Amino acid sequence: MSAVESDAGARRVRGGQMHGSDLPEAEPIAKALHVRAERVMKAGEGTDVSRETSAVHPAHPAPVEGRIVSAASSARSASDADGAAVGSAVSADGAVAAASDSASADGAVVTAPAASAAAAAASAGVAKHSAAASSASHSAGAGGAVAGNAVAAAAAADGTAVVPASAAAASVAATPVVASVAVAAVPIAAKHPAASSFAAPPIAADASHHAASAAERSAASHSAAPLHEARAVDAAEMQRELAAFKDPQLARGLIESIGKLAPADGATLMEVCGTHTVAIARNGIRNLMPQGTRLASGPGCPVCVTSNRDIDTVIALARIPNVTIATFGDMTRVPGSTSSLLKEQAAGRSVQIVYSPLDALTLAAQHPEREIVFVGVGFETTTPLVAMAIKRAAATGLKNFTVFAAHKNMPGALEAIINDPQLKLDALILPGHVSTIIGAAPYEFLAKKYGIPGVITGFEPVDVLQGIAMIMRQLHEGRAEIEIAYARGVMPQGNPTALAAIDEVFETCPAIWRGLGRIDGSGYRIREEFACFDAVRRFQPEVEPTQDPKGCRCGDVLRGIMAPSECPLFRTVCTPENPVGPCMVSSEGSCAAYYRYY
Amino acid sequence: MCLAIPAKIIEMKDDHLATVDILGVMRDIALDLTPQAGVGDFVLVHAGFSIEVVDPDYAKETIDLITQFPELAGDEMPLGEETAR
Repeated sequence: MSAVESDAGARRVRGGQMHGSDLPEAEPIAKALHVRAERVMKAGEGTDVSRETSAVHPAHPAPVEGRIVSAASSARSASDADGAAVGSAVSADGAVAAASDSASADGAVVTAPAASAAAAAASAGVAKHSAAASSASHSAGAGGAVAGNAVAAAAAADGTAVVPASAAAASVAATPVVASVAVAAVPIAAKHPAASSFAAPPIAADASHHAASAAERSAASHSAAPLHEARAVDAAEMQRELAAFKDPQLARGLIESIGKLAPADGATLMEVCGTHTVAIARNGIRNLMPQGTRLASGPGCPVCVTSNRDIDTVIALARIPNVTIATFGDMTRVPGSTSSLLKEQAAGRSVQIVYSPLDALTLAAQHPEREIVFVGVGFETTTPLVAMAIKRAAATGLKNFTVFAAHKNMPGALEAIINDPQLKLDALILPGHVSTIIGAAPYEFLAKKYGIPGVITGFEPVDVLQGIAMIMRQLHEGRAEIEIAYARGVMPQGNPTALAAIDEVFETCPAIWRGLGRIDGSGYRIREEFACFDAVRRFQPEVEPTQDPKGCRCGDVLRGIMAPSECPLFRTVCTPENPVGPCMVSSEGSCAAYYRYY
Repeated sequence: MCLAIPAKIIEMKDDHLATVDILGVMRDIALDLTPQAGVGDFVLVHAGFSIEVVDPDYAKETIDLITQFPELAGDEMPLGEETAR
């Protein structure tokens, strides 16, 4: 895409109508960053933000020189791999690795210390690493086959090392390694040696191949996995690591990079995850984007994209005598054509808010005289949970538990969004926890077929900025790939157990999305084998005629072509207390986020 | 919401359930989707289930990468860009 033009040297931070002090609910980091942005603005138009902030460098030490982390999984599986030598910090008795002592900055080969017990331990648990590793070695250009889970990805700080996994030259940093904890493999995009230093595991264009074969391999190793070995992950260390994702200094560094890398002629990025909608609003990130960069919000809120007809069907089920509706809290206030679950509850129907589908199972077990209907709404983060609940119900012979299945899959909608002529997207901020389940492969078509970069992103402020920065980097370099910024939460192959559960209980089907209409293959229907747990099949409810609320523009907001503030009803007629449409009522809805934070 | 929170597994119970510590709050969750998880592991918890095991070293790696990002982005600039500033 566009290279940075020479007159783009002066980048301005947009915003200025927002003041840190005006955001009472904003996270402290947002306030800190907004105050920063204000100062820059006041310093005068044309101020080069990057120069302004150049004095601010992230406080974190940069230990990357000579640091390589190799997947402990490789050591663990060394016994079942083809003997690729890998460095690792794993030993069966949990002692801190001697490997760290033998670290050499120039990438000398480290012997494989893996005890077979460690090798066996939790190979399913680190099968996830193997896929990252496999894609690493593949993208590292290793011609040698990556057998089993054997991996060592060596990334030198200067990004020059592209080391084939089979050679397994790994220099292990002399950093303390918690006993037998797998260390991240950092794959390298072979064509971008510089990028390798700071891209979180990028998925090269042919990652779908990796994902498939990696999934097979991880499945194979999973089935061979014996008992899991307990790891001692220190809680204090974990909190420390996670706290860094809220660090304002890191955030400033990323904002600076975003400013430098963003295309001069502007870019439109879209997030498609309700939790991102809220994270972006709460942290004031929209206002920190450079001039011309637009952050659009797409159909990321599963409650919001549930059609009116589906809402009406739930209400019809609620009206059946003896039925207790068990639902996530959000759904209760969403208006249907003439009513809502909350209104039904006020009228005497039985509606129970639950935190988990497991709670609905407990309810059914405790109240055999009632029919418990669980409202299944959510994307792939939630679908496997409901699949598991149905499996548990089947296993325990529960007779009074059914599910209204309105789950949807996100990739199904993405193609529709990409093809929307009114949108013109340049890149996608991809969901975090949906991707924990489905991995990176389902998004590959965005890059390969449409040339649209996508970065799987986490939810803390630094996570979101990292995702955006990686997108900008791709745009700057003219790349279109699916990358994972949220490495700690997402494995390239996703969660195979969860995917298998979805596939066992559900099959895909067409679904109606509010705003997008009918999309084939984007919904989930309970399979025939589990039909007795399908509320619609069991109760065949009579549903009233569907009417969409007058003047409601939720559809356009969900498509990303209208910002909530542009809806004529926003804040005038439609408020969280009196919502006209779901976008204002759901905790993840765009309109609710705008109402609260802007 | 998908704001799955890292929680530490404190105790394994029957039937794939476990007690986890989420920032000091104890809760029972199902480990059906992370059969490899055990006591001491951190897992992402969503609606009563663990959906992934969280490895702090991935977090550490990511922070290191983020830390270098601005310097590397700066180095990447073509010379014309540098002098234009």
